[in-house]
Amino acid sequence: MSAVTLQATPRWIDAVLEQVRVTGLSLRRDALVVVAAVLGVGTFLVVGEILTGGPGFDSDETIPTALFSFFYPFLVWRNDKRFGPAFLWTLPVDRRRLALAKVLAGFVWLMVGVAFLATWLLALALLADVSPGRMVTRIPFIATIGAYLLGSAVVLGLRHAVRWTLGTIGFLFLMGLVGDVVNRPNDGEWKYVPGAEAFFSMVLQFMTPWLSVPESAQWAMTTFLWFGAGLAALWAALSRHGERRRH
Amino acid sequence: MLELHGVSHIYPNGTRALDSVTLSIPRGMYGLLGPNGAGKSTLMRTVATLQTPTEGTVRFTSASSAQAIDVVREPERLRRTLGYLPQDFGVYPRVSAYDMLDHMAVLKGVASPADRRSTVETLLHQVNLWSVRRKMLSGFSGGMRQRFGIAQALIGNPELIIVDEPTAGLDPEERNRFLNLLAEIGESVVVILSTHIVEDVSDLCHRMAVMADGRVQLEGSPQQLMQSTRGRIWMKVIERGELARYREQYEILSTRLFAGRTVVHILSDRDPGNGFTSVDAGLQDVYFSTLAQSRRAA
Repeated sequence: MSAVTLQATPRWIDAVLEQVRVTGLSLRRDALVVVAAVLGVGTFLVVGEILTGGPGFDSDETIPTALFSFFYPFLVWRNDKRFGPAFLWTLPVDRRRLALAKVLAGFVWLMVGVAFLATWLLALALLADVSPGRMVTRIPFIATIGAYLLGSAVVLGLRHAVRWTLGTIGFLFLMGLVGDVVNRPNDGEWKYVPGAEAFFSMVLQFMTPWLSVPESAQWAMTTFLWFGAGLAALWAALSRHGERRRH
Repeated sequence: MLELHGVSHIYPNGTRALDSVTLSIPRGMYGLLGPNGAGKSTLMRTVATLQTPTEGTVRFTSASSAQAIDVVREPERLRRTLGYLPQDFGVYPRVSAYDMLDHMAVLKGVASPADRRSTVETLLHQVNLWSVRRKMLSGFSGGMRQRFGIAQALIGNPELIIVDEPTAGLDPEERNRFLNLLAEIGESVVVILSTHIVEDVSDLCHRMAVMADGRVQLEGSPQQLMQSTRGRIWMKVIERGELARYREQYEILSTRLFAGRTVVHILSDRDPGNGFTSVDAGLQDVYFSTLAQSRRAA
């Protein structure tokens, strides 16, 4: 085989661009399914709303992109082992940087999806003669990005991410059921979790001064908390895959 | 050359997966034989820098550099010259072979697009996957996937190649094709073939080691090891119903059915009589006798 010129290690930007490319290729089919669902089913439903004069399209309801973006990293990482004898970690790239490159790659395609969604909403808004700006603001951009960071942290940081996620969802669902079974009005399911009420009243005490500040400040604080929490969790998750040496 | 000295690995649950493994592995094909749970994969992962050993040193001296790489302290240096084909090599199923190899080439430091194109095309021809280069990896058979795995392991002309259980699950034709490919590449670099299939080692390897219970039980060239058991392997054809009785009387290494009867091989330093005939030891006999001895010692 002919000799090639090797970098000492691959440049990180090359790793990022390459991860963007291959992540796009591996998600291609899933993306087509989602696009078909959104274009087909979504447009059908919305046009139906418009034609029948229903309020559904022209509402302030938030589109659940944050929920999707929390689970989206499971798709991005499904073909890569992260723990144990993970082939990815035998490559001559710093492990945390390689993982971060893949997180960035997933983020790029998430933003492409969000841009597609925004464009579709704009087009429908023009069709329905409603305010385009109002339609686009139904997409919670900050929460979508924050949820993606948290989801990536879960996938990268937990060895059994699926079990933990399903277990948490199951727990929350169970608490809801408990609340419904006992059927006390306005009690809330958390009443039955030891310590939860005390925790939530402490949080409310802490949050009350902040809720009285102007909306822009609230927005800034929310953005900071979402990004801060997401980035902190992601950094902690990436640190699990840092190089371990014995000196 | 790869040198391991006193390498031990103890998992958090207390399992001692490797126990003072010391090996010197020169250029060429080196076979690592052992049953499931012997510590082969743990050793391969340690050499492949996927885990740090609890004790011991691992050094690799490449042909291109006189300075040895301390694999435990500087794993990233070894990775620049490492090709690794693990037991379960995950691929992106909806990516073509060409795109996936190109992707791996970037991550292995082949920066120039022209170099990458040359590398990928050469490798696809070498592993006989050129005609299916645009096919999705999800459509590959087991043998094709293993050949693809070897192709990615060869990117960047590595000087140390680790192949972990590569022929498990392959049909005879695919296995043969794969082993021929390995034989081609195994002349000028260090190739470690970890397997529990004796024939893979006997067909390909100049030197080998047998592992059991996390320790190296035996080490040398296949010919030397077979020579060392000369005169100690005895064979007899018996009725199937007699097997239980013979197990009580002799140390049976292996049994196989032949024309409705059972051929037994036993280990004995002296002529056991009773119709047994001396046979030349095959590598399988060496392997089984080593395992039997290690079980006795345990």
